[in-house]
Amino acid sequence: MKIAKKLDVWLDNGLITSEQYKKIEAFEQNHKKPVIIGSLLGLSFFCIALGILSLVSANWEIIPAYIKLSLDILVLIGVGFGAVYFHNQEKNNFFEGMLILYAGLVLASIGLIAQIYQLQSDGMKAVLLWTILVFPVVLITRKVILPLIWLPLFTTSSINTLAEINFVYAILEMIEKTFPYAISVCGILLFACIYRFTSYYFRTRLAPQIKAMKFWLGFDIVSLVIVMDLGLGLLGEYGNPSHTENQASVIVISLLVLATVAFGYYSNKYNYSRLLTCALAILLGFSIIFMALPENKVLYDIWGFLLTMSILATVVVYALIKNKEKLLNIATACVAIRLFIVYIQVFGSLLTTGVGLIVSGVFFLSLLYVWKKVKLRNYLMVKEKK
Amino acid sequence: MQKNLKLILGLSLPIVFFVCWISALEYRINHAEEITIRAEGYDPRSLISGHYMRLRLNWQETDCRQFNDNLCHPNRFESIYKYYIPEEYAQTLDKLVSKKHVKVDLIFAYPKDKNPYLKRMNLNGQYWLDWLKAQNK
Repeated sequence: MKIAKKLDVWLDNGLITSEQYKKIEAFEQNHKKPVIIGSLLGLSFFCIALGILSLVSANWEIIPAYIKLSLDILVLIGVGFGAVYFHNQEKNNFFEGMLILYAGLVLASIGLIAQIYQLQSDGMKAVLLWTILVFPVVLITRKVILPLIWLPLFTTSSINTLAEINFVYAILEMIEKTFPYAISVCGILLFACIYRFTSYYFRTRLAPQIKAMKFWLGFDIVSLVIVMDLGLGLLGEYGNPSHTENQASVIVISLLVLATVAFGYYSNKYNYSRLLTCALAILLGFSIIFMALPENKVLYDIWGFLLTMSILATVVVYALIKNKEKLLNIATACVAIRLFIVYIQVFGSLLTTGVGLIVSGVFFLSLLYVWKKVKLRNYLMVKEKK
Repeated sequence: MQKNLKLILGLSLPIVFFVCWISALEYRINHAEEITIRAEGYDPRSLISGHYMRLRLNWQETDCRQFNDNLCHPNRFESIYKYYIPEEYAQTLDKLVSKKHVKVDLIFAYPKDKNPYLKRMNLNGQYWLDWLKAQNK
């Protein structure tokens, strides 16, 4: 609810006086953050950085290589000085804009050097080099935009480069053979541990970076659930690839289970981490169940449906605990959509779809009734440790 | 100064790296012998570095006598190389190279212990830009 609406409700209920109302309103007006200005500035510098990248790509023959390189270094130094200047002037929006521009220029410089010296390494290595060089800038920034761009690029390019090492490739191949999407589950678990560690030790110092991690962690889990749900249904047509059980599978699965339990144990006090633990446990549990399933398309469809519903149910509980109304509405809408899809997927006929949906509706209504009566929410409440 | 130290250090890292990288590249390329290898190719585009020709080395038509031991060493080279060209010449070059029977040579700096560096591209024995200008006359 917006502050003005809240103030009206508080005033109507006699919680605040009209004098307090005016004071709070005036305070909020004076302390409003200029969101649009900040976003526009960020967007402007982002566009300029992309423009410079495109200009470099055009590869002007008319300008000698040494002039291009010298100009590039001078522009980098200039923008760097600009960033320091705005930092000293405490003009945060311009400072952040300069950091975005600087990061873009670093990428353009890598492209320019590759162009001039005809360097042969692929695009992913250039991206990895960029992520390493701008890492300090990503740590310095107080806005979420650079970490948001940096994180997926670093993850993808570093995995891509590491996979070129025979030893790493062999390990990845071994994990991949244990169960479908095993690498993704491992990746998410590792990412969750890094997130937990960073947010525990650098909660205030690296707030925007942690925010970006939180976003990508959520995004990764959602993407994986969608891919597993829809993808494994398709996989069923080609046979279950994970029916080759061996010792390596047992070791990998045991390690993953242990890691998930350890993650859950050490982050028990934090609601978001409890949600993560549940999501990880669900993903892992369903993956193991999948290995035991006989090859059957309908079974795979039901399996995918149950996986999504379990994740959504966890999100609903989390939203209730944290009083996140929007998240609760989104999760409930997703539940409804997925319910509708499953009837079409599994049964196909309008009659069974109709009956199934009515039964589901009645089930949810009775759940709501029990919820109200028993006040289940009180049992689920956990105070989050700051 | 103390207040900005971390910021300055963080911002200097890429600049210092680029200066060292460029110096190392300049040194290696200019202090190595040159060799010429026949190639053939076509023209896609890189998002970061612009237009380039993708060229496959043709060892059958390469003179191996230019190597010190009179033997070709394909294992020290990549099988395919990218040669970056300016956007304004990309289309013309692509058309001309595919239409006419053009001999493409890649000239490499060939350091003893490091990977070879692609220095320039010749078309029919001329630097590609000179050849292109001669064709357009």
